[in-house]
Amino acid sequence: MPQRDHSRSITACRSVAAATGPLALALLGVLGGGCYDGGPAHADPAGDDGNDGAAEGGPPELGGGEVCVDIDNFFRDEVWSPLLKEKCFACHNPNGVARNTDLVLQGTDFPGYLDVNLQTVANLAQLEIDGTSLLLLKPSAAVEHGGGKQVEEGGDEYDRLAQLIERLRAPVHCVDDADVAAFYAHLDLLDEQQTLRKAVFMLAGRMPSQAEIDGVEAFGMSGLDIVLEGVMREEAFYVRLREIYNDLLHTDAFLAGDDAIATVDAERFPNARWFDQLPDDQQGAARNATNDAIAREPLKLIEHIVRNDLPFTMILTANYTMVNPFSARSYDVPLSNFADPNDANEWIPVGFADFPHAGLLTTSVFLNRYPTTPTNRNRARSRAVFKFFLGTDVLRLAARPIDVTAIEDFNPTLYNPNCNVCHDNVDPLAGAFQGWDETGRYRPMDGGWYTDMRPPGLDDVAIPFEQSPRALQWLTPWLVRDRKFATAVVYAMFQGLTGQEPLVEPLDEDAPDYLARIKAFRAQDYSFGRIADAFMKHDHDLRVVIRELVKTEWFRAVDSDLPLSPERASELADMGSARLLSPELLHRRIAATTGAPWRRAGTDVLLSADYFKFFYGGIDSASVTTRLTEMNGVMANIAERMANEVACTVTAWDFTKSPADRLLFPLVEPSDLPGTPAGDEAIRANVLHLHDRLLGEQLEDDDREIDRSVALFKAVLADGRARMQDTANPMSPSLPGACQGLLDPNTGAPVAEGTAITEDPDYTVRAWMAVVTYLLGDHRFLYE
Amino acid sequence: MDRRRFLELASVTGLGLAAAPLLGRAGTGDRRGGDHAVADEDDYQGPLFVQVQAHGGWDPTLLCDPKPGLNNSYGEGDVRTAGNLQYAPVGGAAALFDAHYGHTVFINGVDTSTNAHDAGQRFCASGRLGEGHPCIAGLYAGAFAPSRPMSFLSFGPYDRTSGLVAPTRNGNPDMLAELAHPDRMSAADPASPTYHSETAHALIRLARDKRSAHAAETLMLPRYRHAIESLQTARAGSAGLTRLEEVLPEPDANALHRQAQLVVAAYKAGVGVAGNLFHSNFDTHSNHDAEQSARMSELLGLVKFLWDEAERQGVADRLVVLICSDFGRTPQYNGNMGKDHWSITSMIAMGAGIHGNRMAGLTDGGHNTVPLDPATGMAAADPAAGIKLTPAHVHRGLRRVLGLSGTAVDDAFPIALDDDYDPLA
Repeated sequence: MPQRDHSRSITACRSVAAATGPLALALLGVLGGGCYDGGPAHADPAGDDGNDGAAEGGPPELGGGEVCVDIDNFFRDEVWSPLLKEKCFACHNPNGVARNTDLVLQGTDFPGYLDVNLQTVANLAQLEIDGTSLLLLKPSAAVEHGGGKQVEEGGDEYDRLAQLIERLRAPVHCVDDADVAAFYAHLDLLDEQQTLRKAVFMLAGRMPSQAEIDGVEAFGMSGLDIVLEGVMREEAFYVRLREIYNDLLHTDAFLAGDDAIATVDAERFPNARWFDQLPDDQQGAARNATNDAIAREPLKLIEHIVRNDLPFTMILTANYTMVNPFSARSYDVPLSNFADPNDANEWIPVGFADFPHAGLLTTSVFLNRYPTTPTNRNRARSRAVFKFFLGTDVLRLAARPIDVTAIEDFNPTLYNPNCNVCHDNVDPLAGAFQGWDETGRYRPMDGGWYTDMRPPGLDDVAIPFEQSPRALQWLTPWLVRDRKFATAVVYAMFQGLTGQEPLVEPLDEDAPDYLARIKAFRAQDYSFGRIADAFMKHDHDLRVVIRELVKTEWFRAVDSDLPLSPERASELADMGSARLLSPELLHRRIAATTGAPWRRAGTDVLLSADYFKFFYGGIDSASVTTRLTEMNGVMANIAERMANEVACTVTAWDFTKSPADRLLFPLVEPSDLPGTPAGDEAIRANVLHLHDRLLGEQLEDDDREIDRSVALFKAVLADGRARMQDTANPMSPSLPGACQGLLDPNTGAPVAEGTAITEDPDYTVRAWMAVVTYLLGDHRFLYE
Repeated sequence: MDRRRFLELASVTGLGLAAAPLLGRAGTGDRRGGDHAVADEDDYQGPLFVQVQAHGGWDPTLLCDPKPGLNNSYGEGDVRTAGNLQYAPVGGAAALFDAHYGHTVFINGVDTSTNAHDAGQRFCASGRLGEGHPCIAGLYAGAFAPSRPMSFLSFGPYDRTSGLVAPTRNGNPDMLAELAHPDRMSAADPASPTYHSETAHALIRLARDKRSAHAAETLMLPRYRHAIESLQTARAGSAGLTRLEEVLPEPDANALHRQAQLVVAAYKAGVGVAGNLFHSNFDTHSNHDAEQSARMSELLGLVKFLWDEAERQGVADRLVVLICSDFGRTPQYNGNMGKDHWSITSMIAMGAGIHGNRMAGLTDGGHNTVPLDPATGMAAADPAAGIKLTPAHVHRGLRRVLGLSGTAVDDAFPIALDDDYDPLA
């Protein structure tokens, strides 16, 4: 069902027109290949990888053939690891004896600690006495230093610090990085067409059209950009976008019953349950529609932002929420704003008076999905913001041991190092939520925020006291400027596209796989950082993130062109998605490839809790919030039943259509038998087509996999034909009732007159059924 | 199926037989049972391991580490005993511990070193505060029965398995019978026709096995190999689901109890060896006494039901249970008569191989952990020289009880401790 999304209250829409289908390809013709601006590709050390990934910002500053050394890498490898961490950190940490100096370094468990520490050091480096930086004077004890002399003036460590100061004056950020390029070396990637197929399926749940394939074949990655631009304006993409963000936010937990309506502030909106006034037989439908609308506000806001080409930052800064005619009745929004007051698919942005909206953060379902208590004081909400929108798991900070018996302070969360390691981060942002009470109602605190907690804010940004009633609304524009917000969006999209969580920096340097894991982390962090930068540069256009992610090795790698040593295999442990499809994605793949969903009596069995949704690893967003990523025996049997049942449903039905309209069997007829050149040719050609259609494999005619599938067809055919000729117990020439081609499985309508298939006199339909079953149960069908 | 005809067809059509054996699970290497691994996991008769998690942070002083002075809900004279076990007067405790004190050990004064839920759940379930270790149920199932279709049934919050085994989630139990017979057109009818002839089904599986084996041999990226091999492993064990039908009882009215029924039935049927059960809402920052006591009673009822069900199915002598939580609750009440997070907690181990009728570990009157002498398990004469009891100690002991000590998975996911104290011995 197409969604209508009015944005008439918005004046900041971009003028970018959606370029789709033929228009996109026409545009492609105009732009040619020059519109590909690089993205996260990495130059091959030999320089022959064929892409122009270094286009952004000019060539690396190599200078005279030297290897470019990034300031970040220099700091990490030459200053932090050998010197600061070893000699300075013991005192210069947030809890150390030097915690009140200008040099307070963060440990490796602090999110983004290297960036933070480099900035701290850069600040200190600017402080000079008689033209010499304190960064040199202090550790060499040329001026008073509580830790005494730590480095010798003129020594190697002193020289490293001096080099760092020089580099800080003219920081070099290399366009490419030798380590990163080496990490990605010798990977086999999906080609453009395979990347297109994977991306289109992951974004819109369908197969690419021939025009899209042609566009990508003609123009490569540039063509992919434009094709995806069109794909990302389809209704199915917005469904997928909501799905991706619900997998993080889990606000769909409120879709059940009237759970979402219960989150609405009944004092502010006394008509929240407007439907109770309806006749009994109308209440149920109206209640469900209203509940769905309120539950979907956060995800609909995300959709609205993307649909209207608004900066994605507005998901946290929009001064409105999204309302359809049903929730409008609950919120007393005039129905005259809607073209059709009974159309649940018509959404408009609405801002409430005297209510400081902060995008989805102030929707009632978000506030109730991440509730608080008088003692929790919004810390759970703060943690959620850190996790979802700043890419930071603050609880990871608590993974390091604390000593509870040492906590005897008057206010440990403020003063005790065991506690404030987390609370110094969490508590200020918690204060920004001060206007919302435990049940998510807007109730500014009369006496202001708690004085026994750190002041409301984020990092160095403090919320002015006079802004307390709209503290969150005041803060979110600051929050979204943080590069961590951009990184969090990259993380969210990566997870949505691949099913994999982004890598976290390993903390245990003594672990046997530390080196492999840190290499992988740095490579991914580098690639994702570049995408985050591009996202920010393009005014936080979400589509830029997706376009660039699908070009990365993390999306496209399928193999290595060199044998892997154990160390290299460990480095590449997380490379390539190989994602077990969720019930939703598998459902879409079945429909997209065969033309019919796996459905019983109108119910999509993979999407229904009454059937296989939870057994197959689905979530309800409430009690089950993580998807299964590993195939178990129960799921294997679901896949087996699916392959049997869907093959039965679609095989004869596909043959009822004219060859040009068939999705599965355009090149063969049931009357084609092996043993004749024409029959063998048709069978082999159609097997080739099935491998492409169902598995995305473009194989050569003589590929062993084609041989195997043809052999399966012939073996099943031979067995069946022998059984049909068994005089003692002959097999029926009729197809089983469920497998007959009588009805269109999508509509239930009879197939065209004269095309029905109920008999299988040559046994070929059943032999093709076996081949389809074989392919539907294949790893390439069940995984992406 | 006419086996002769099948062999002929497979041969003349080029499908052939003798699919290459699949490798161990990629991504983890071969980290399974090592010397303890069994040749045929269908024959494995080791324990049924069940972890029961009190989600949100329980208050051990309302259960196995009674502290009347820290609670408003009971006094000195209310503390109960079962054998050598002492426990607080919470509903359901007497029924459970009177029946099972002989193989039950209370381990008190366990320092989780964290006040964070996720980290506490991870430490409780895996024996490691940091990230990276699988939960012990997954470790155990992965070591000894990775191919069983419901080897590790998970209802609980921390069910990371590090690729050793695929956890199974619960769904509509009415569908289990259908899943046991994926080839039947009408699953519940034993006389139902199948989608393909028996020979055709066998040919399809043979072709799949060969294709997967070829892919596993040729693809080099670990994630792809792992995906293919885990699919093959899952398929290899899925046939066992037919046995589950025979032992599944009528579903209990209590949803928590149904978790226990399924875990025990899966073990009885030979399709599962481990499970994570959990009960939530222990995070009682307000109205602690009423809320925590109610949740605790329900939790104990679940454990009692688990034992009763294991008895009914005739497998109680092989049941091993670990009960634990994220962490403990503060000794004092807060302003809402709730209790906040406290890193000192307790764990309870029960069942076969557990040295029971004991209370291990110690806390003082303020519910602080007391350093132990690792040689005796008693309070250290010199507290500064004593050891701090942690979930790692419990997990090391549990690995011993479950036969995991010294296996490849034990080495791959080591428990790091500097002493030899085993609270389960």
